[in-house]
Amino acid sequence: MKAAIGISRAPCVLLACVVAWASHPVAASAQAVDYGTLEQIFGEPITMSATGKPQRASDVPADMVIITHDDIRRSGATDIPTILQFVTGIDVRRYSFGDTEVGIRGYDTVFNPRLLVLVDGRQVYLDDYGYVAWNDIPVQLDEIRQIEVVKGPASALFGFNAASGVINIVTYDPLLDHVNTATVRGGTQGYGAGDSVATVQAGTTAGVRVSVGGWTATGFEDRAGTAEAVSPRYASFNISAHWQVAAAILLRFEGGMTDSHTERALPTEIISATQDQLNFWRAGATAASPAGTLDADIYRNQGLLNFGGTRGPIDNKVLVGRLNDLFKLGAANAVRVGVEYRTNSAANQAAFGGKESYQDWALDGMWDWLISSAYELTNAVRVDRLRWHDAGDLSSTPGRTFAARDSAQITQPSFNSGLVIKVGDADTVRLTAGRGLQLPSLINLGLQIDVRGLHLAGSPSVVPAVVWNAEIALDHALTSIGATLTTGIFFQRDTDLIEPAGNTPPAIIDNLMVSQAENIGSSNEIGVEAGLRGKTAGGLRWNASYRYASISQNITAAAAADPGPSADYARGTPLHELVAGVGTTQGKWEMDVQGRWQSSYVDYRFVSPGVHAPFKVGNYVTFNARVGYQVTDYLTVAATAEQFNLSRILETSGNYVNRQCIASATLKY
Amino acid sequence: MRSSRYALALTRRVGLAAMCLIAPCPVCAASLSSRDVQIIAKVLGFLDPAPAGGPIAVLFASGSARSKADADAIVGLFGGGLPSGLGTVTARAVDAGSAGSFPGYVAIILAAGAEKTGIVPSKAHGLLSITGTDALVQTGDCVMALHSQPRVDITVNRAAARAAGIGFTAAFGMLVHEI
Repeated sequence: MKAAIGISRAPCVLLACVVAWASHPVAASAQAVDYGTLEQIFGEPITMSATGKPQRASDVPADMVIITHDDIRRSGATDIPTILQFVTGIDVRRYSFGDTEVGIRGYDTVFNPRLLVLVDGRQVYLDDYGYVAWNDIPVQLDEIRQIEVVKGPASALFGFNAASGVINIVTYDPLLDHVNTATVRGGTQGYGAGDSVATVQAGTTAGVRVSVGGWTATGFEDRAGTAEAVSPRYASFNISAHWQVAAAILLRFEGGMTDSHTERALPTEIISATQDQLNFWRAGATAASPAGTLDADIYRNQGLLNFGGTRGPIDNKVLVGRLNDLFKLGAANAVRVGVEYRTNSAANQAAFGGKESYQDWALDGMWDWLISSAYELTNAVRVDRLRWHDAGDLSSTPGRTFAARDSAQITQPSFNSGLVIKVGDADTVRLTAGRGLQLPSLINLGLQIDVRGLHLAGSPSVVPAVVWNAEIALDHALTSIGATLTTGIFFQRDTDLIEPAGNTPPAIIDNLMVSQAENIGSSNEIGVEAGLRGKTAGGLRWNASYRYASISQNITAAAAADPGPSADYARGTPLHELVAGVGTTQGKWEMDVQGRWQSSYVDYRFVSPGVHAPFKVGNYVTFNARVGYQVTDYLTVAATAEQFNLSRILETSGNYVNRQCIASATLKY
Repeated sequence: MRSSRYALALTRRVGLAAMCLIAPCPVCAASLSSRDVQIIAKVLGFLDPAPAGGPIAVLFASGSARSKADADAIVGLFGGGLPSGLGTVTARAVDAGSAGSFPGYVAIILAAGAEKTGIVPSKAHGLLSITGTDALVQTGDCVMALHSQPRVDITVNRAAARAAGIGFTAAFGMLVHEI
């Protein structure tokens, strides 16, 4: 009850603070970061995802890839994972038509808990199991300005779960960007889709953007050659408003909902028909002050996540409030300080005997020091203090006695440091190091459920997995051929790897056969990436890149004797990835082809509760192509062939991925 | 490293000035490029507080044909106007010697040779002054130096900006080199 009152009061408190602030005369103005104009000025994308301050893409102290709106359009992709598939270092695995897992630098699994995904800084990572349902994100491709990919842990900025990296989806600003589109698509696999984005602006004072979208399909073939059991489909609505209420105050409001149905591989590798219903609201304010740029942000996500069966949905609620101040100290130092509060709960009678939750307080700071025009040092640190509590009544739940503790506390620091060195006009060297965290999910902490005779149990004893990362990278401008060479080598050490309930080897506890979440050991990874991207004088754009990653692990004898998908990263990560593409724009025509090859890896398939069998996924190559034609200034038509080289491949132990042919028409007005 | 970059920039400017001296004025290139002036126009949108609209004054040194030619060339790069956060921005060549103050102008660009007039600190209060010569910003004789090749680089002298009553939005201030 107290929590409910707190939630309802929060926007009122925020608004009151904003009104109070607006009553004070402040000379400076508060504006949203005008990504578009700043990109035109500096000739490259602008981002805030590396440090929390605006930076040029070439200056960030992190291994970052920015996928622009033009890249998205030219990919012809209809979803975000397909776009990410052609970024080196990103591991994309499609288990069914609507179920895709995305990992950075390997360690990809079903319900991958290590990758934090955000939309304009709001997490769309789901905290119950700890995963990203890409099919649940309420955003249309036409309203995305850029997708920012941070490779490597970034917990000091984003907190728990930015363990292997962060993907921040940045949408257009409703106040600054006038985006009005309508797109229809149709294709094989019974695919039909439509979406629309509309923006209304009142001068430079207020702007509202509304987007709606949806699709339906018959799905891919399963491994028996039959259609997926559930027809995948998706519908979403989103509204975003910015109001420049005074020169010094910018207010933001946002809300949205998603409904999706898909056949999904669960952490046990069981394929299940699932339905997710999500909604969120968000409010925020940015204020310019003599003390810097103050930012307040609060949002609440709710997900009703039905994983099939008769146990009903898990009701997952996340409330996040954050205060942030970004300011300069003298000419050479930028500082950011922040405080964050987060409460996260999951309720389901069968799974938790009621509800479990945690509250997390975090303090964080960033210091960016421009030592000279050639040297820039950035340090960020964050400390999280989390209290987990199980409020459910599990007294009648079999096996509860062995895990009767109903609370846990976690206090963990994280950091990111980076030194960026400009060597002449052509070279940039980056030295970075970080400590990231993967929080045990609510499922890992408090699950208590029977699945086909096996008792799956969370454990309050599970501690966060820690990811240590160090890397060195060099970017070199090859002006003679109009290209940029990017190279890097990284070393990563993971300790306290978490293996979730259902994947750990079953053991008898309290006369029950139990699979209990636990920390199983450590692993080391070393990787190398190299890429070239350029454009010829004739307008031919091209790219080629390669990634090598090798993982060794040192895990408990029990986990090693009965490995599962979360305990076999050494074999579960492809050693090699190769991505290449070429494209051109000739008059009204736009043509692009992207290809990806990756070596084999070992996935796992469900055999019986607690028992998995290794499943070798062979190396494969896949090509996507798009041809677009601008019929008028307002209308563009395009044809896309995804995986046009093969009728079907296996990317996982799940369903086949079939060739897709899609036609689309986009109206811009 | 910084001094070497400035030395390089200075060498470029000196070289450019030498080229202007030996070349007939009709073919004398502007000391700013087309890309430079496009950036200048957009930078105006990040002034805080935002000024009222108006043209940019391109100052040239009195009695210097070469400075006048440079100013005319820069004005030519603006053509009929360039898009800016303040609307469409145009430019006019202004004789530094005849100028008292600069009512109605939104910013000042120093053409080659105009930096010797020392006019900016004394008469350009409330206006953003822009040059392609880093050394002028180092000495505080100009608020902003800008060049777009090989990489866009914008340097702002904080003391000169304060003295001129000039400010920038916070995000823009994070993206430029302040000294």
